[in-house]
Amino acid sequence: MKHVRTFCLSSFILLGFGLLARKATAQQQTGRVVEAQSGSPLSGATISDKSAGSGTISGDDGSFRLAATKGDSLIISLIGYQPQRIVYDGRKSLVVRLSQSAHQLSQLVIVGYGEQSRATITTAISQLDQDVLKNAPRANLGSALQGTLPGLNVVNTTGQPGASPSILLRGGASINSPGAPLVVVDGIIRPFNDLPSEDIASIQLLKDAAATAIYGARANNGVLLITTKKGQQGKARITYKYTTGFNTAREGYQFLDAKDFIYYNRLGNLNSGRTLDQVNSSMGYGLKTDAADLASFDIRSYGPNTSYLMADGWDTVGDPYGGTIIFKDHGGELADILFRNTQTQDHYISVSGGNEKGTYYSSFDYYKEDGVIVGSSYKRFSGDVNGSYKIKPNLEIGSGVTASTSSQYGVNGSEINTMYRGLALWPTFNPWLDSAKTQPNPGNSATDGNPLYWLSKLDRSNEVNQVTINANVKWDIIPGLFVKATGSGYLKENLNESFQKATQTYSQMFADPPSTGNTTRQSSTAFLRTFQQQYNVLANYTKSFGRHDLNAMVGTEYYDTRALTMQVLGMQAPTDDISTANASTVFNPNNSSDPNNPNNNYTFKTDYRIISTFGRLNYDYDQRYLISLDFRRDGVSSLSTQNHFGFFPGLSVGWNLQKEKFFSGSGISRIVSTFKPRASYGVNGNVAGLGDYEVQGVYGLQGQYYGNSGFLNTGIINSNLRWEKSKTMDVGLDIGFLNDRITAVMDYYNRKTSDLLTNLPLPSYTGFNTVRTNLGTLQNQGYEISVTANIIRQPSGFSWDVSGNASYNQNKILKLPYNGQPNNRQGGFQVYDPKTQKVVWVGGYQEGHALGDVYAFKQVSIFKDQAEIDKLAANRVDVVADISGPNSNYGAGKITPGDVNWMDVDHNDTIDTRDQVYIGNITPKWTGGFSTTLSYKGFNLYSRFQFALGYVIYNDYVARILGNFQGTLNYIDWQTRSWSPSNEITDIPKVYYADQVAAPLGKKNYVRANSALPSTDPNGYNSRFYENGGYLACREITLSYDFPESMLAKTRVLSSSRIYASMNNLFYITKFSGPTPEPPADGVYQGTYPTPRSVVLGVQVSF
Amino acid sequence: MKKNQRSILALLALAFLFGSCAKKLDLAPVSTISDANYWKTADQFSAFVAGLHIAFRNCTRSFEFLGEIRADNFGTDPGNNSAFTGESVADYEYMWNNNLSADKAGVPNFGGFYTNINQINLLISKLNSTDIVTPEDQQYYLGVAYGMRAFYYFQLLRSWGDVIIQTEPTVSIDVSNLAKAASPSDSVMALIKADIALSETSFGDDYTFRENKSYWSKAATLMLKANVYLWTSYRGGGTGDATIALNALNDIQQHISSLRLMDNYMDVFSTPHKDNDEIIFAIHNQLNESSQPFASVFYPQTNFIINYYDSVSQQKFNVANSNWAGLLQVPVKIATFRTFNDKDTRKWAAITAAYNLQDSHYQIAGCFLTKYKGQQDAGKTVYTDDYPIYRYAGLLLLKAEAESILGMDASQEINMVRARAYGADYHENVDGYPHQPVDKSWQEAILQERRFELMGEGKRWYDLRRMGDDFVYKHTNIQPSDAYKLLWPIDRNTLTNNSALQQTPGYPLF
Repeated sequence: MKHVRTFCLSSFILLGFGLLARKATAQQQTGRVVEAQSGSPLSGATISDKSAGSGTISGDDGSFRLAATKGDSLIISLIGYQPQRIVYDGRKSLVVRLSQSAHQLSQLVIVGYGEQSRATITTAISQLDQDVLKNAPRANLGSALQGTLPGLNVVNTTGQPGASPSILLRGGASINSPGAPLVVVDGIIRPFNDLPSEDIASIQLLKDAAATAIYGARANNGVLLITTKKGQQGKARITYKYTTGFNTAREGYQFLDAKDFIYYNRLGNLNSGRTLDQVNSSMGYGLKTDAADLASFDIRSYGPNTSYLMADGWDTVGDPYGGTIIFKDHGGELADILFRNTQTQDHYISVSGGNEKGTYYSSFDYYKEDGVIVGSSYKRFSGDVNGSYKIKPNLEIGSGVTASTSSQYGVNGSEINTMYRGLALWPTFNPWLDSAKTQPNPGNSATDGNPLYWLSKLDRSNEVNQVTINANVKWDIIPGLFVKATGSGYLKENLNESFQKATQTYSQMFADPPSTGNTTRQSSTAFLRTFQQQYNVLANYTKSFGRHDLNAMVGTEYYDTRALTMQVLGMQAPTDDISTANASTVFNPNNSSDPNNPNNNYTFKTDYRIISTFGRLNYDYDQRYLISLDFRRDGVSSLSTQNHFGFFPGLSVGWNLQKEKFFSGSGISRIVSTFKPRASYGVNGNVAGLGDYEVQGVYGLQGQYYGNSGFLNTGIINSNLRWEKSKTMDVGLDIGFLNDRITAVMDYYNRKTSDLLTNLPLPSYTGFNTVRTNLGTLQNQGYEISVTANIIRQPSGFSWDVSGNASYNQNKILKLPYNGQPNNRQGGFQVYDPKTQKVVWVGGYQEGHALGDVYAFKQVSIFKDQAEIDKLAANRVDVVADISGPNSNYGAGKITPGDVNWMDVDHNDTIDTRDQVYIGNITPKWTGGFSTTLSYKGFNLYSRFQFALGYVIYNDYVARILGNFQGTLNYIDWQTRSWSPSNEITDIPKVYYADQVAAPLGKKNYVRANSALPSTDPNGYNSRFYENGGYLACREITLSYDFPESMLAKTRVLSSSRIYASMNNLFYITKFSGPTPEPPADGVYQGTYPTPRSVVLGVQVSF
Repeated sequence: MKKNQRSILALLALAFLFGSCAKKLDLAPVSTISDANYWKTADQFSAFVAGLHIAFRNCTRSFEFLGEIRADNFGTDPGNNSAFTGESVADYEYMWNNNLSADKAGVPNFGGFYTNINQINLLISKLNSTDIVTPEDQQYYLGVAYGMRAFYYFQLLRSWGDVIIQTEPTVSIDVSNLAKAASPSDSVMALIKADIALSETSFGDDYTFRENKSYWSKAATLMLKANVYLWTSYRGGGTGDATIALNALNDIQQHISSLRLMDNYMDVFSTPHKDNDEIIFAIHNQLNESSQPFASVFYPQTNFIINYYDSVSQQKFNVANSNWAGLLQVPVKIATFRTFNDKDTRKWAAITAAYNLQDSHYQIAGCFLTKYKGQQDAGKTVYTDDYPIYRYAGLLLLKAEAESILGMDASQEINMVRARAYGADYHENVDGYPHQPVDKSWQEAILQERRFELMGEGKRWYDLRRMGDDFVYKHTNIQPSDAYKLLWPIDRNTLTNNSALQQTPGYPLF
């Protein structure tokens, strides 16, 4: 009954507010808010009577009306302006002059369940600069967060339109499964991926535990608070914005033309000792003589019968095996089919307005972008209607609905295969069956042929519908005390349909008689619906007693989310003409790899609830001494009955030193205008990753056996699991110079996440692979700084503003579940440590070690000739490649010139897994960004850069291609620099057929494991192919022009108008050799969809 | 003020309304079953027994690899270390090259066998404390559970020697006390024999097969018993154990008269002839239920194989009937193919050889296993054949082995198998036992006969091991100086996860 006690407590607090309340005699006050310099009216400013707890918003002409009592403190604030505090002296009419503040110390900040002035904030909160959202069309809002919010590491994992980037706050709070911040949009927990950026009023990031404690159990990865635009008092305003972007693919690696392709591949085969038969039966560079290959590959043996082809644009190349080969170069043709230039279109229209009683805002957005890789695209419609109305002077209701429908298509097949196989496909392959280029050649498979064929055989449809509804009532019970009740629903539906028509491969097409090919005709419809309900009631009390300001809030919330997944999967329809499963003849194939649903036709339901109480107390004395306390108590259904509830408190303090007499009186205040040290401490929780019913023990369906359904015990009862808890200490300083023309916000944090929900790999005999425990502790420490500066502001109207931020993070595993190993190590491998001259464990997870350290075999050089081998490696045994030096009989092959000279770390003449060295860490140490704005009159030049530094990437893409892992695909042009008798000094090993295979075929010069598959483990390859991933990216350069009011006034219609041209994702400055240096999640670059480069034009008009 | 008090009361009421919702945090799953709701009905027990067989089927790959791949049947041919079609052998080569280590352990995590052992342990404990299941089913399920557990431990014993014995289900995890040491192989063998005895007693006189021989049965337990006692007969058990083995096999023959050899060797495995009279116990696969989990490693890619010729049909492999869509990573050695007599139908049924045609001469390029041909479904091959664990031909050859140990005449059993294999070409006085050259040694004769007969059924390595270490040295690339290689190494992660576990003696420790 603990929860009842908490509710009693909160009720008493509510009662307390009532007793404190006093009746006051107020009189009607009118006034105007104007811009300090120009005197032009400012609409949308908030005028709040701190003493009475009432408030209003200024209208279009800047006017407002408010009941106030003499002696009340009024605070007038507006985003982008410095707020003013006025003690009301009883004057009838009031003119408030607000001056613009480019700096970050005076803004109004949204905190959980309320808002607060930056000046009184004592926690670590960052706010997105609105300029970031102004210009670029954004399929996904997440891209705006990259480099703009200190502490947030945002990575574009793919350039596919609409894809969400990966987001991690302060290094993440988990060892196994780092999570993204909790996203709260207008109080509703939901993703941001369908929000048009024009609808965004503000984005705030709550970072330290004192700020996020109000979101308790879900908040230890931080909280992103997104507020959408609301209507304002004044006459109706219609805004239309059109943005269009022209997207081009980023340059990647250069592949060899057909001539070099044939030469190097056949040379590689020769170096590997493959017979002429074997070579000639290989795809692409072989001389196959069957109908299918003759029709698809333009390569022949040169001779009297084929020499006539020279007249048709064919060319010849000498065969390393002897003789001459004649071929036609189709290099680049497939790349031209795969990549395309596309256009983005974004139309946005909004209508807003309001009066003293009510406001409204409605908007509609249409967004469409085709991806630069064929097949990928994104389209979205979204709408938003919200409004508020005062039924009675003290009773306001608000409600809103948003709806969006979007569809997102990725490339056909995997992106890795598109980038790897799609680009490295044989340049002797003719992607067209006919000379008019109307019939694509299917080749071998979707990723080994003309993608247009395979796209034409696949009907896809994706539809994501998201609807939110919310309604709230705000009741001003007595001055200073209001109660607000909010209810919201969020419905998300994801409908995926696909139909694979019958397909043929080229060999089936040309078989005699032609083979029907694959007629499985799989038709699948998958539907996921989640419905989330949130209800909360909160009471807020604001009061000033002289210079004491008090704000207290307490509330309670109920959260429930239900999910239903279903799928219908039919096969073997008799025709291509019906794409739905009603034509299918076979259902329920039990070949699914989804552990929950071994049948491919299913429905699956889950339910998850959280019940919470929360509260906050802010107190300040004259805005000088600041203190804030908050808490949340959450009960969650996915933990066992005895562990449902967790308590998460936060405390923060601050001191506005510049308000002290001794400070303001001293000369230093002329330079230092703000000096606010602050500190906070708090606790957050998380149960992310925990299955909804996992702790209860699970009996799961295993599929069928002779038609019988089988169940097994797939999870043991784990009722002792608790919340994981992050304790964060944060020390910060807000500092402003020269009347806050230059401001900086600095933070140091130390976050220890204990009771981590960590998987412990279990000994085999237990019969389970892993068990979830609360036994991990991870520490993240780091620094963050953000600076804004107004460097130039001239009366002529010329100004120059810059802002920038940088964050540094370092993680360390402090504790792992006990497993009897030193440092409770999990996974890992052993290398020789020259310092201690011992074999030590590295990799995996170990207490005292960082996450993401990488070890690899060191390429000292490439053996240039036999003399060098005799000298350096006469007795060497390479057990990995199964080869040896001249004085040894070991293995199936010899070390030959052109092979890698590996570092023999332990000097035992044996190269094995112990001979690996530390290469670096896969996680960026530093991340951040900066921007500058130059403006003169209506012209504005804005540019924004972003960087990530201090990490390594294993370039598996290049290794796989140069190492010829697949055996027949093309090389990038680095192969021309590979070792040969005429090119002895190089860092690229000799070409082999399938180098990843041990001797005699390959030498394992690239990878040291025999795996032709893309790997996700960044350890254990050739050091040459680890690259420094650090980069500086130019995200945006925009030149815009705002038409002057005087000119617009003549139109009598337009109230504002703006045109601009912008370039997005213009370039990366990096040492990384691939197109996109952004850090891959597991440290391995496998070939990702590159982010496109875009030129954007936009126009915005308001009436 | 009154008005305010009313509103505060209303708030209080609201707060308590929320408070009462806290009970709503106790949610039960809808689409899975929690521990609290299982073992309540007889149907749940029978679904669990089906689950055990699914888990058993999931081990097919481990059974095949542990039982055969390190012997002489599979591997790349000399001078080549990828499949003849060019496909990478993807680390499988460490097994047939017999250079396994903690990093290349071949079959990691003890083949995944403990997963099912734990489930079996759970079933046994639940069966011993329930009255929901009918006595008949209860005894049958116990027979299945003990028999299957003994089968797993026998696999573990033959592969790793000393292994951990676990006979209780894992119902909770004590993280501070997870390390557990292996038991000596003698204790493991004692457990195996005890489990076989318990299985026999549980089955009693119930010799019936369930689900058309795709469930473990009393006959399967007796086959296992014969195997186990033959194994120990070479290791000190002598004629006593051989007699027990022989009796177990006779027991099957006496009680199940329907068992016989199929007339045509290929029919034993083909999908249309599933559950035939020769099968004693097979892992079941069927269209749209499951296909053989290891099939693709034995079959070539369609687009690679169509460059080669099939010397039997005298034409190129073609996309219509050779659409194996595999990734040939474990080829059959050409030498294996050549060991078979051309008259032996098993040669052509189990192996396909691919040729290059050079100036109208066929030159062999390589071989691959095609014993499990599966079926055609919508333009592709689906590997729906069953994987036999025990069948009548195996019974006959085990019986011949027991008889030979006991000095009895084994020719009847061996020749039944040979006669079926050679079909019309069989001539007892040439091909029959003991007229072939190999028949000079009954051990070599039986080893070779089992090699031909049971190719691709996960038996060859265990057969060599059973007969004795010298047979391993003679028939594989393992030297007597590397005797430690007779057992498998334990992979690094498994060693890490259990600190009380020791690497198999002889394998490097770093």
